[in-house]
Amino acid sequence: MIEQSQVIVQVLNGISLSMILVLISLSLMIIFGLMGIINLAHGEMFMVGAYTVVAVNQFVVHSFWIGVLAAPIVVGALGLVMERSLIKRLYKRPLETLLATWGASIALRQIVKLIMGSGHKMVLSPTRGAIHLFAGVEYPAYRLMIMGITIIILASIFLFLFKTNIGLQCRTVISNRSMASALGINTAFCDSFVFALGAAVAGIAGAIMSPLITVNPEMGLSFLARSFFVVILGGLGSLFGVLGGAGIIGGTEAFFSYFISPVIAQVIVLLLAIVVIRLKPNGLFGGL
Amino acid sequence: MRRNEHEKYRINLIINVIAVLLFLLIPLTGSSYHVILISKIMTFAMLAVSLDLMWGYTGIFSFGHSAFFGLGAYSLGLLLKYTDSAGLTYLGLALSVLAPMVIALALGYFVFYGKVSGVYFGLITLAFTSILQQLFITLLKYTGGDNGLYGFPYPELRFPGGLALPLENVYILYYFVLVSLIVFYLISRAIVNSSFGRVMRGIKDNEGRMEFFGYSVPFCKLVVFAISAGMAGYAGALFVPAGFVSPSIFSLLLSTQILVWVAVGGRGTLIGGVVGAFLLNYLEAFLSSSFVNVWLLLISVILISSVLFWPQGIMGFLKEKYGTAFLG
Repeated sequence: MIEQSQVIVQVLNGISLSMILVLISLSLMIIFGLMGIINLAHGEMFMVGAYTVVAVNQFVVHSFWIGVLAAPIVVGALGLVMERSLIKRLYKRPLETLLATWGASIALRQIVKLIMGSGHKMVLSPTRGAIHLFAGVEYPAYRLMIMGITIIILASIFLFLFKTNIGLQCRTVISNRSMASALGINTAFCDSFVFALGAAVAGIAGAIMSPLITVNPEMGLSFLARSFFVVILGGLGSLFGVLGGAGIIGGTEAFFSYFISPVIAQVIVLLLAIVVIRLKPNGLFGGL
Repeated sequence: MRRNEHEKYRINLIINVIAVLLFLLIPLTGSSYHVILISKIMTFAMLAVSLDLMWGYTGIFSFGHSAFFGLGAYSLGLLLKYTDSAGLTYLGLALSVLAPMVIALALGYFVFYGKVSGVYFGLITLAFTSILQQLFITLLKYTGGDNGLYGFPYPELRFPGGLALPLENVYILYYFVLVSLIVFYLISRAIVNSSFGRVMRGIKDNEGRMEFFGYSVPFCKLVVFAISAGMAGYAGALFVPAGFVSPSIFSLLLSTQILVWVAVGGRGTLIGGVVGAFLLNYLEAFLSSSFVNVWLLLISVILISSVLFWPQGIMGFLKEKYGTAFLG
């Protein structure tokens, strides 16, 4: 018999995994939605975000939060460089972008290995304690904090996209690129800007996730696959789809990891994604 | 003009004959290390040719070829290990073609009939490969996990009349792989030149138009994918005596390298994959033992620059310049 408190902890684990997935997938999706390309170096941006925290702590100042603030700046700049040098040349050839960004992801992994070493790094959690929830359930404070931070970031992205001038221009480019261009919107600027924004969000996700996982140069890959599954399940181009997809993927994975094993959980998630592609190519929430 | 064509054909034929003779003679000169290295590279070349059928001719981009290669290798290796009988080599080879084919059919059915864009297929195969690798590492009890597969009898080719050729002998292995590579190449060439080959190219150029012509694009893609996966599996089976079978052959790194071989050699030329595989594997044999990280960095730089600046590759370049690919 499984105790009730354990069930609640598992549910919370599912929610916190889903929250992180929302952050990573959202930036993947913003980039795909605006520019029609999938960035395979996305997982590595997440990884560089985590390493920024490690590097700031190791070389500059011993503060977790300064590292978290530095991460989106560093990774955003990285995204800008990538867009200007690589992506810009390949907008007309989506399959080639897949290859080029995959090349970039290997390069990033190797560069990080050469600079920081290939071993695991640990980031200490800024708060250690556990919080007593209802029904006598204890849950790590930092995981709850992550949920809060994710909600704040999500809200600010939504506000940015729907309430600011640049956000309006970017949405115009999404819905009709040539019309936007005819209206005098600088589409090239929008592309660079959104790519950098997506990168920055991936970077901050990596930074706030860093205390919960072992940081190593290979960590990006599993998050890339997961966030892509989220986008398949939720449907491309739908912001609500990302929320739903992340909930399903995070929940399924947390559930099967706990009851069977993490690898089986990943196999099940993969099968789920493949079946969804066949039955609902536009995603479960494609219509929303 | 006609004379010109004829001359080109003759030059091609001469180059082909010289190349094949060269390969027949290599074992006489090289050390056994060298012979094994070339056998290994030839299995990779087969893998590259199988990817080129999909990628270069049909325009289906896949990160999954190392997975099929690995499935083929484990099909043969596990069969030999658990039956402990080298006499089952033929069965193992058949299995190494069938197992990847069946999995490719299942995977392809769902993804191609969903009619999502090619980018999705690339990503699904990427996830498929990395998850399959983890699965084989976890199934420690059966696969040996990270330590790889060992303790199986060496595969043997038995002929009626009691003649048995053990593939443990590097020279027998070498010629067997060479013959397989040539047969594979000729089969692929025949596929590409057939009317189905024209349909493949049509799909690459414009899927919608092929639909209007009445072809079922998902079905054609599925057939190409299954053929290609079966070939990759067979190449994997030949890798069992030539190399070391561990879950690392499922890696995305190998999948990436296959893509790089084909991209550097020239997509849509078939022979380009062979050229690319030889070029880069030789380079790797010289460089990577001392600088693994730098080698991977170099691979990524080669990949990016071939995409940006030289998409047609070596053989594509020659084809453009001389009208026909050598060795074609």
